[in-house]
Amino acid sequence: MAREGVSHWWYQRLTAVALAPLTLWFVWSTIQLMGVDLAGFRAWLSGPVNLVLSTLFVCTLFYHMKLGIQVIIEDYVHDHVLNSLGLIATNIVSVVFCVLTVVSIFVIVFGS
Amino acid sequence: MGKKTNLVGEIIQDPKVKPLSPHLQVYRPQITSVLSITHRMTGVVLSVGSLGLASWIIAGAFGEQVFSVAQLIISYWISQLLLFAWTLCLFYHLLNGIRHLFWDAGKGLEISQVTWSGWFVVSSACVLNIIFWLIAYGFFAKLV
Ligand code: HEM
Repeated sequence: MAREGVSHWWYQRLTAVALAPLTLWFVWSTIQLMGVDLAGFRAWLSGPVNLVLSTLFVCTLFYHMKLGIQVIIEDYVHDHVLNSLGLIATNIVSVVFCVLTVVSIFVIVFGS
Repeated sequence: MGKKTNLVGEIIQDPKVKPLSPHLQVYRPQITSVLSITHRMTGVVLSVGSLGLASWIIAGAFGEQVFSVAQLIISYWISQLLLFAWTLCLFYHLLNGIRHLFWDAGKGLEISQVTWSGWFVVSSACVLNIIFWLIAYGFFAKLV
């Protein structure tokens, strides 16, 4: 249990370090994507750099989010059942959204 | 649930029970404590917004029509207002996150440094957010 806490802490920092530059890139990108249609979005996303960074950003973001929300639940939700349910729900939502988003990115770029 | 105590009356911590975070109410509000809880609150706001961001990308996978509905929803003024708040949270959390990372490296921990870096993070986040939205609305493009 204690070991788990330490690696949890580390992954939170690790994802934060990765997110710092990725977020700057993301902020810059959103300016270029204001009000695009799907064709424009596809064209932007098809650039190899944008494709790779988008995928990286989404995965790191959802991992960082999952860890962060779980720490908050552990701190504030003391009811044993609610605590477990919260952690499980956070896991499911993070994984499902991450997978759906990455799949969508590739559908947009490579789908017909 | 009575607390177990030892012979001199100290509370014996059950090793299975994790220590709890200190209660927020017992502190007088200070830039340090307020910003600490703000990091947490922006983390939650960003999480909710990230699900929205993901939904926007997922909408793209469903084709032109669904994506244009998503774009329409984003263009409403209420959505723009929410996005404005969200990016403010993002800039704050980004800068304060970097501040956290410096602390983890053992830097900037003196109380005077903690205070000025706190104000620096808050003001920079506000300035960056305003610049971001001015660029987004083509304000600078109109100037040149
Ligand atoms: C949209 C993206 C992001 C989301 C959804 C998010 C979410 C969260 C959440 C929920 C927490 C937990 C807060 C707590 O435990 O008090 C957290 C903590 C943290 N975040 Fe983020 N975050 C994001 C981006 C970033 C970025 C770009 C950085 C850049 C450095 C960052 C750095 C940190 C750090 C260092 C912590 C740990 C703070 C602590 O130990 O209290 N985050 N984040």
